[in-house]
Amino acid sequence: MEARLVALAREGHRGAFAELVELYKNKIFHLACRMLGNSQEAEDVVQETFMRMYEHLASYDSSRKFSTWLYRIATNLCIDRLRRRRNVYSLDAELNEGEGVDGHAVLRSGDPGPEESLMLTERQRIIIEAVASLPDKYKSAVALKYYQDLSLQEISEILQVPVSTVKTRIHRGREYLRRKLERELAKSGQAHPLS
Amino acid sequence: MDCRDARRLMHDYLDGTLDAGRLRMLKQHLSACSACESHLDRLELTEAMLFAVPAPDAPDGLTERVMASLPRPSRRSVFMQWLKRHPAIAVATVFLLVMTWSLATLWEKDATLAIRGTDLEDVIIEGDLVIIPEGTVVEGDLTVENGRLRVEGEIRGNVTVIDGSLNLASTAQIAGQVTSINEAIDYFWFRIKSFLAGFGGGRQLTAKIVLAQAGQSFFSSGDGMPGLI
Repeated sequence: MEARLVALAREGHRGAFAELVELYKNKIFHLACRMLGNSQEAEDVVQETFMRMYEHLASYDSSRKFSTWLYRIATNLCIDRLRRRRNVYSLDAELNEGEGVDGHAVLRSGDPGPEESLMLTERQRIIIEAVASLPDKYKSAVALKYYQDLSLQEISEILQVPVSTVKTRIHRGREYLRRKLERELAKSGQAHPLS
Repeated sequence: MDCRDARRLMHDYLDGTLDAGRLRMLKQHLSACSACESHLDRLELTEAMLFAVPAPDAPDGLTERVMASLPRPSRRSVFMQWLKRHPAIAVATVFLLVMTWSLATLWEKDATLAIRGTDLEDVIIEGDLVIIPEGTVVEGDLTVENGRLRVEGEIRGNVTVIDGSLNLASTAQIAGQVTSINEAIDYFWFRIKSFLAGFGGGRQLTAKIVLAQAGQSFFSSGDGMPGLI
């Protein structure tokens, strides 16, 4: 079914292309929201991802899994944005020295977009911000694992790093989130369930 | 096992990649080390909190915006895709084009007298008048284009007259069918029929006589060279 859609889309069938957009837009939007912590930018990434898919569909190797290929495009676009954002932030950081408690606080990617924040509890907002504050390397692995439910093998293919590296990133990401959440929940007056 | 090893195994456990042997070792350590046990609880809770975040749906109309942002396909590629998806229509289109073209080409020569048949030895031609004299026998079919045909003798086959007239004398004998074609469309179907019939027939000796209306005459005869005049 999906392979057939991909084959048709490759031949330039716009209907098949639109079907693929329908199939993947929510997944990619979710991934980008978690990586960027901002639904407006996430929407831009979804658009860019499908634009890249359109441009590069001819070079997609149909013996590989399509979703892996598409996630790779989306993940790379998110990482590019985070990198660009960091360059802007580091300029700001020089101006407001001493503002950030640690590097990540300065790099923190801002609030969830208005549409998303309306429906979120305070606790959920803290969790989303914690994920968005992860160092980029850990963030993509964590987002793919927890928000796309992908296997370590698939994540390693998407990120093009060995499975052992994926594991390390997820382990470190988990420890980072544990510390961060305990601290942030305590700070906001939200009781940590284990404290 | 020390706490460092235990912390590493905890993550493998959470990843679901811990084998039974190492799982037993981890459990042993946890039952003896409350700090590590608490650590695993906190990690599990962290995971639970990650899953507690709802998955947002992409904004409405995103598919439409994506599709609108794609470059418009060129007219040429649209046509090629359409052809690729409808091969039968593509073949039919090419066939019709060729037929129309050949028809148009033939129609331009409507001033030219042409006779086609397998036995033209006794045929007499006077200007645009073609005569089968009395007492002669034409074996097989006879086709005359752009001329008047007068039959006084015998034809042992079909007679076809295209854009011309047929005159039968009292002595005339025609064994097969007589067909008269004057409309372009009739001629077109006649062409298709003879084209298809050509697949069924074998080689035949064909003599062709082409006479220009100006009075110049050519005679050509060939073995196994049937076809359009």
